[in-house]
Amino acid sequence: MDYARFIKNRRGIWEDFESRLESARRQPKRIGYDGLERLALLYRQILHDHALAVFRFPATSAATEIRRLALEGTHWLNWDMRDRVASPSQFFIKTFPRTFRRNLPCLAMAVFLFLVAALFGSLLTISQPGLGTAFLGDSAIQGLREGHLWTESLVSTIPPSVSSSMIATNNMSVAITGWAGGALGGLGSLYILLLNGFMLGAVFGITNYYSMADSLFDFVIAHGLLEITLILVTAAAGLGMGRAFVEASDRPRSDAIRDAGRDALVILLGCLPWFILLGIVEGFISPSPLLTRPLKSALGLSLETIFLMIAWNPFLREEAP
Amino acid sequence: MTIQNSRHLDETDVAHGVTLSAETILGLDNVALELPIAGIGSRVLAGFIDYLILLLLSILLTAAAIFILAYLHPGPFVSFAIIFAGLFLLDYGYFAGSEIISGGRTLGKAALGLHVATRSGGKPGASALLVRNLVRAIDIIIALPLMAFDPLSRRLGDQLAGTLVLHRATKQAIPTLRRMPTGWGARHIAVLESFLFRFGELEPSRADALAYQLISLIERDDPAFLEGIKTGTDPIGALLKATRPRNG
Repeated sequence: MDYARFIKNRRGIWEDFESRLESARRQPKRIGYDGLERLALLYRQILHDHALAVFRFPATSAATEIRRLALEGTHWLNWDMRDRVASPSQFFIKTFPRTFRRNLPCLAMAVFLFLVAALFGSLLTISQPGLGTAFLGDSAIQGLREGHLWTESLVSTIPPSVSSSMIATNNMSVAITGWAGGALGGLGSLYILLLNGFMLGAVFGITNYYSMADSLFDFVIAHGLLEITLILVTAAAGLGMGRAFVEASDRPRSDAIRDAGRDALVILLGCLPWFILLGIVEGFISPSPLLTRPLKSALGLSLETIFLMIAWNPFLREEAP
Repeated sequence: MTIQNSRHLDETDVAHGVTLSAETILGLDNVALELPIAGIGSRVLAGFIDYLILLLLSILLTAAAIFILAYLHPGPFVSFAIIFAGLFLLDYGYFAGSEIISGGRTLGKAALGLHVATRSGGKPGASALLVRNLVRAIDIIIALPLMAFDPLSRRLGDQLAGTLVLHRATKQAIPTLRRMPTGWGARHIAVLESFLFRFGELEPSRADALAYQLISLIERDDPAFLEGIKTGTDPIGALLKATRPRNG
């Protein structure tokens, strides 16, 4: 077949494919089964024409144009629909709990590392109280000596509405950073886990030295438990991503990384809304002197229980392998 | 009819002796299709445009918060809260949001004719677009060396989401050619086509000179091709007459 005849014979197919693809793009729901079948058939012909043009008529305008059509068709017809979730409720009832369960080994590792770091931090500051200045700064240590927590100035100078949004966005940034850090072979997540664990242990060690641990406990109990849990869960998702980058398995690494990325995203999306709630609790409830410790403790435990119930979903049956 | 997804080459293909470049995917019936991968330069430029837009949006947000503070008097702290929440949403939402809404394009990418696709050249889902953009904070530091060394110019987010950034090919008009000189290969055809497309953009004297060169090539390879067509005073007209349909 010569070039002129090739164009003459096939041009109709190319134009038909392009116009159908364009209308399918504009109104994908109106294409219908027959329309899709016709489009798929034309796409197949376009690919075959592309193969012929690349071989027989490379660099010609027809070869360039058919390649464009083949690329456009490939882009539109190979729609990545694997991650589609029917609704937000389905996400929280099925998708999130299943992914959370799959990631439990990484979560166990994250908890272990966090606890080790917290223990190390507390032992260090209990044995060397002078290090407190390095962690909290001079003014905070001076405040502790005078019987005041540094958190008091935070909530007395800024209204709760502002501190809530600041706290929520800051915590979400930390969670996203810990999560995204997993993409560096898990190193970023490890850093967030160890740093947060160490700082928590160190801060409790210092406040304990100045006999202010009770006051700190009063402040953090309503929001702290869930906040730490969320940071652990998101960092564990990051560790899962990191594992896919370094672990040898019988699957192509690119597939393993992509699946781990999807799982990690599900966990992050399941956790992020809780940070907004926690921001409100930390801004309005935690600093409130009107609420007693038992009330704050009950709230903290309730939030933790509700999150874990949603994340684990005991009513969810495991998928058949 | 079942549409079999296109796929990128894997170890199995290598084992079977398929030696195609990394940019090549295998479509239906294993037809090879080369993806127009966007290189590091165009991606950095698109990112630069996007960050400029992001900066502009941040300034607009701050101005809006100041406007609210000045005219609605809600108290300074509400304005601060709007700024904090707004900047956070812009920071994390601009890239992912615009790519999800537009099917893989930010304003910067659209300006440079780029779009995000799956590794198989398909349309990426929302989760892939979210994943590739949520690691942007880390990619800002390491994306350049990663893209420079990766044959597909993928940054970390792309590797994690299984995505690529491609050039969107522009529509190419196909000339209505009735016939071609006998024995001419694709290279000669491409030259003739290119000339017939672009002679209007050339200086008339230069266009005529090129047309005479093409005519002399045709007369050498296929003397019968220009039979009955006068080439003396209007070589471009002669070429058009010889290659275009009589009624077209």
